[in-house]
Amino acid sequence: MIGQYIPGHSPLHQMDPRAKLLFVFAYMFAVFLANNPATYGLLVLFTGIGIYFSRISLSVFYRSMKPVFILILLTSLLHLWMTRGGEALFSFSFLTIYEEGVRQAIYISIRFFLLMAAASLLTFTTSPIDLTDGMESLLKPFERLGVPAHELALMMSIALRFIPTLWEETEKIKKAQMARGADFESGHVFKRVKSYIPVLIPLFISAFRRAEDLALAMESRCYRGGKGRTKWRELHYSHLDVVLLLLFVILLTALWLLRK
Amino acid sequence: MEILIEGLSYVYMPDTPFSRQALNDVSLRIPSGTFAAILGPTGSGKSTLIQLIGGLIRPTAGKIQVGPHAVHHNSKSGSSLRKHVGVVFQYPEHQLFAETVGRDIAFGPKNQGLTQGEIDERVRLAMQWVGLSPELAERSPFQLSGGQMRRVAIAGVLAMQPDVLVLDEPTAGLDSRSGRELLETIYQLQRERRFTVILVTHDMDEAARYADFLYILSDGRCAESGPPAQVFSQPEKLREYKLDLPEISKLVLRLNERLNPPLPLTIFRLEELERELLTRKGEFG
Ligand SMILES: Nc1ncnc2c1ncn2[C@@H]1O[C@H](COP(=O)(O)OP(=O)(O)OP(=O)(O)O)[C@@H](O)[C@H]1O
Ligand SMILES: [Mg+2]
Repeated sequence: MIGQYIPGHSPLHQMDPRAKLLFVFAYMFAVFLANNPATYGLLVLFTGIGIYFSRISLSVFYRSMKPVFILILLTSLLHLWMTRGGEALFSFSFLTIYEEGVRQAIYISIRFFLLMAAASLLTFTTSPIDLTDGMESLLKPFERLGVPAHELALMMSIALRFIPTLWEETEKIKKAQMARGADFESGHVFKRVKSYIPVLIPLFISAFRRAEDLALAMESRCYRGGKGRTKWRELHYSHLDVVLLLLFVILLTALWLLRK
Repeated sequence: MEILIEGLSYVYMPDTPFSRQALNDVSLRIPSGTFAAILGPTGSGKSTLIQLIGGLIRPTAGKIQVGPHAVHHNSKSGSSLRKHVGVVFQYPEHQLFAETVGRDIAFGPKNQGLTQGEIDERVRLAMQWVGLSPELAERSPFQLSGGQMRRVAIAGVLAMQPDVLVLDEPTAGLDSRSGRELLETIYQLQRERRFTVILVTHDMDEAARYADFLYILSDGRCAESGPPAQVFSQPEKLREYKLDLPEISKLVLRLNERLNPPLPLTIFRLEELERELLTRKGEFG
């Protein structure tokens, strides 16, 4: 799974989720400042250090990024194909690969990797609860503009909470129907889609039942929206977050100086 | 069919930080045509074991053999087992999906590729076995009571007429009377048709009452196995596995404090105890 939370005590785990969210948001723009080998190298180094300090094993990291690598491969192939400019390096009937194409393919791959790595590091080291709390707190100032910060955060935390549950449920129902001879693997596409009906119907029924139960449980505990609601777990910035901010400023300055 | 398990291990989510060994080198044998019960505290690997027997997951190591069909860790799929083992999961009523009870029960036989005539006959029989009246066949399964829904789900597996029937806590969440009726039905059916039944349960009385053999799992290992009289004759050992004696055995032990000669510890049914006490009354009184 991409970016499933891995509990731990690394410096990255201990940072405030708001700081991490803001950082990743800003980092996504910073990545687009890079435009030559030096700047890309700097960003890769920076991300590498981040991975190191997250204390997440490289194999876990690699496994979760695997689907992304396929996407990276596809986009870089497209660039090799389509981008023209510079010297033609290689030519074979209708296919000509240009210098610019190779450069773009490499840069796009690195950029893609950097963005996904940063997002993965965020979700690897931040529990879903922290993530939604952070988001709610960051959106709070926009409430006056009509952004339903609390409701959005609640929706997200419920969704995050129930994705694994529904996934487990799907697996269980699938196995139960397999035990009755259902076949999810063979046949053409239409038949395969149809074979999922005995899984989807019970899944929907159980999702509705869960939703009803949850609504009832929340109501019976006097939930009535975000107004006037206080928090049990409050977020606090620490010196680690200041370090992150400083690092980001240094990174930005360095990028500015190194870029062409 | 005989079930032979050798050196069976299973790891959930291997090679991740969440990996968890659910079974660890389990070996056991369940003779053909017996009623077996698998006992063990929560998390001991019971559900994992029956999914392996049912060919629904593939072992990390070891072998499962059901009759002539074997599945190893490197077998392509467990489908050869699936054809002979019918698994009824915990809360099986959650997997009902068809518009009518009849069509839901027909799902299994249909997947077996039987003719419509055979399917209808199987559905009729299965409903009769589990004690559902025939007119329910046209009802929606979602309009039934919980106990009836569970019977429909079990009928759905019975209709495939598997050689081995596996039930994962079939009485969980039922009131004690419908639970007992359900197991009694399955027990009678097993005695008549002589297929193999594997019952997973937390209830010592259920196990003692119906099973020919008990298998106790503890921490992913098969810690103990044997006929009920043997397993329940060692209460200290049971406590080690966080299990208790059946209520009826506790009663017999209490009675034995006052009875001479003591009652045999092989009594696991209330009727038997009653009979035993009545004959004694006849002898002495
Ligand atoms: N899908 C899964 N993913 C990861 N771990 C699992 C999964 N299913 C079970 N486990 C783990 O494997 C171990 C054995 O689980 P299993 O469900 O076989 O226990 P059980 O004996 O059936 O327990 P119970 O009596 O509660 O049903 C448990 O520690 C459980 O946490
Ligand atoms: Mg279980």
